[in-house]
Amino acid sequence: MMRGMLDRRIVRVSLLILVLVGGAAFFAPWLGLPDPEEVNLAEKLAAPSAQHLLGTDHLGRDVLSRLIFGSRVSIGSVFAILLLIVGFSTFAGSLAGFAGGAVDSALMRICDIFLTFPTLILAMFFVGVLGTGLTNVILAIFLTHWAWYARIVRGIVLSLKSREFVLAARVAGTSRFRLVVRHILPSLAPQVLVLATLDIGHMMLHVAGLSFLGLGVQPPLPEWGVMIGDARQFIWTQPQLLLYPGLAIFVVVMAFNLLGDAMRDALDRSGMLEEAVK
Amino acid sequence: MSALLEVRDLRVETVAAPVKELVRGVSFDVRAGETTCIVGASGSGKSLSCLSVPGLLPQGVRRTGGEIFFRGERLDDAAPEALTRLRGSAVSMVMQSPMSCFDPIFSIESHFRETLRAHGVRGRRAMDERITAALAEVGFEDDPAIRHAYPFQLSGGMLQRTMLAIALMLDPELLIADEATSDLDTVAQARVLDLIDAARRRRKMGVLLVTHDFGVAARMADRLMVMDGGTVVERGQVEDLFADPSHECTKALLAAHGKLCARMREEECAV
Amino acid sequence: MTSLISAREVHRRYRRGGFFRKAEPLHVLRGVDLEIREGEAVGLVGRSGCGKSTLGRIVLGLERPDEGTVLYDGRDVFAADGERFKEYRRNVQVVFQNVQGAVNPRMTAGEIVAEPLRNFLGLSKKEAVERSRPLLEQVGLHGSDADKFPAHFSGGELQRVCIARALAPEPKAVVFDEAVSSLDMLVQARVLDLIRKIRDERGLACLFISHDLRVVAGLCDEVALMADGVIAARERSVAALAASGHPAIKRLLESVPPSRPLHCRERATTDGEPEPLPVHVAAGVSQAAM
Repeated sequence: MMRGMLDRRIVRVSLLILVLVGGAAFFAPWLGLPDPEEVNLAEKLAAPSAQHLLGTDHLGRDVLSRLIFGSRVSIGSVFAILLLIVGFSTFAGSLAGFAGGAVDSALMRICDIFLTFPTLILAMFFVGVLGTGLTNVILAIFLTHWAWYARIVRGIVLSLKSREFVLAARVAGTSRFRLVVRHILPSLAPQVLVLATLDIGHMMLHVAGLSFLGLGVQPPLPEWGVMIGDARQFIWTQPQLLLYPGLAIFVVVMAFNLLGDAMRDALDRSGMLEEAVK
Repeated sequence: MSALLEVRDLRVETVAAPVKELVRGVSFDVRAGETTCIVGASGSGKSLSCLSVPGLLPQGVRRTGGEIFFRGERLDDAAPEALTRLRGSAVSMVMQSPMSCFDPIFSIESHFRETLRAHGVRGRRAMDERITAALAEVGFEDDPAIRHAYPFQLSGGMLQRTMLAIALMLDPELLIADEATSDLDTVAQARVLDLIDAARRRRKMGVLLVTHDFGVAARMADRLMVMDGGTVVERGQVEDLFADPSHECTKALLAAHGKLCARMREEECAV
Repeated sequence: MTSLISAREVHRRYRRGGFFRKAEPLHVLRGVDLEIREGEAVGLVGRSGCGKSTLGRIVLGLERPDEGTVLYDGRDVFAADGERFKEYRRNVQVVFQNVQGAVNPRMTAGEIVAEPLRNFLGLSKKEAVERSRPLLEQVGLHGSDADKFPAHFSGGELQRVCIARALAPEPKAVVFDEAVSSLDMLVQARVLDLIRKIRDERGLACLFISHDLRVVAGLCDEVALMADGVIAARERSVAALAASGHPAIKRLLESVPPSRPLHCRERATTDGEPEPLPVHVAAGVSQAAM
């Protein structure tokens, strides 16, 4: 599947962007960048120079450095969220789909409850209850999104349950656990992977959004949403302070979306999607 | 009298490398009012030979040679619009898997209307008349509820009869049935085959029937053509082929068919 | 001969979905009694959708009946504890109709056949795959095919893999659920020969579900006809079943395609009186003639 995808230029470009961003994020401490949290009011709002390639913000902190270190937070938190969601939802959805009966009903009612709330509001509620900070943002977004994935996983499991190869495996004596792991998960995984990739952009916007509102990451931790929030007051005088983090979010979200789209196309073509959903 | 459909030296191959020739110089005729059957094992190229006629080859294969004459006119190099007009009206198809040919979110009636609209029939009254007549022809005259039903509510046999109704609705001169009964049980198969045969007689329609079952060929064919590995290995009148097959392939297929029928004869309930 | 599998008074209902309308209940099996004795091949014929496959799944323990019991070796299958149920599973295997759908496309043929060996005999994966090679040879394939994926096999070959899988745990009975219905004639004949050979060699009990009488004739010791949700008739042969005169068997018999070409073929030019065409068709034909 992956090989076919690389033929498309847009996939190569997206991957390149993500590799560059990811690389910068990973190697940030070793890139010789100025400390992103170091406040230096004497140099505040400076123009780009050799020392500060993108200038400084209102507290004299290097913008480029904050962007790069911020990417660790923005992207890292999204991966953490997705890991939690995919892991938990796959477990819950498979359990519901496979066990059926009362277990299924109970889990689905719980999902219903979580699904009725609009994401941002529920996230704000959780942050309000749990307090601000990155960990709580991750938790809040996880809590608001897991139910949707669980439902989808359950749907796929239900349709796979009655397929002949699963029935044949049951007759061959395969235990229920092995059935899920060996026969159902491999068909499930690509589908969920594609959905998760497509959702990365969406999650990033949530993290940035909550941070922008001041509910998430607290200063002085750099994060793209926080940077936008801080730069709000300078929109007329120093628009670039808004532009840089905004552009960063835009580019990364778009790269992930294009990648996810390409993955879904590749899945469709290879028929695995059809097989998983049939 | 020239045949209704004449196919000469048809060649079909795969598009992507490695290029494989799937149909290698196949020729056949279908005459008005007669059934020509193409029999062969899976992969012998029989379906592809049929699909070439209305220009409906699947993705990944293409026609690379040969000439197709319909009513004496060249079909293979006709303009796409002309071909589209012919499909459904002069040349109709019934395919193997009825369930996949219907859109599950539309009612049976919608499917009929769509075809009528595509061929310029307008007006609710005109459409209704044709739909009623079409459904009656395939045995649904006592079942008005069928029109409003959805595909998933019908059995395979009923769906195939519906597909036949849509195919016959615009009075085609040639009906192509590509393994049309392979997915049905014997009772539904017999019903659909009877309907096709009756329509052929009544409308003086030419029928091109593809099957892997010699019993179906025995039931339906006037002329028989056996294909293997993309070529025609034997052809002729159906009685001649059954009585005196010459090619190895035909003999093997007839032997398998004979063995199957022999079991019934052993039990003294031969047909 | 002792009774191996016995279904008594089995009922099964389904609810046919309705999104906006009420779901209609479908009473598919209405008190089915079926008995399969050791070493006996029982054919189960009937139209598609009459419930044969449902009964097959119940006999296999894949679905619970709403009412009634299934006994294996005299004991209730669905009330059995873990060990008993496992023994029952091991002894009653299956070959399905949908060949492509019956195998996990990500497993090699060897792994597919090895699955029951690992589950019932506790073999490791490696041992089980090695054991699968002679099994594949027994069904007419090569031992080296064990390393190939399902995509490399034709329909008939893949069905042989499924048969090897069914035979691997050395069961006492195998349910063939329309096992040859999706295969074309030549392949069907060969697979039927294989099944016959296996039956003769191993004295296997079989439940042979089919809508095609030709397939069942000559293969089964007894043939049961399913109609209206019950076993309508059960005789020692298709011929005897035909003689019983049940309308369902008559319809099945009449629908069997002929063995030889029909005589008196009407040619287009020498037709007898055709039925009158529906009005619009007549109009259309005369228009085309203009």
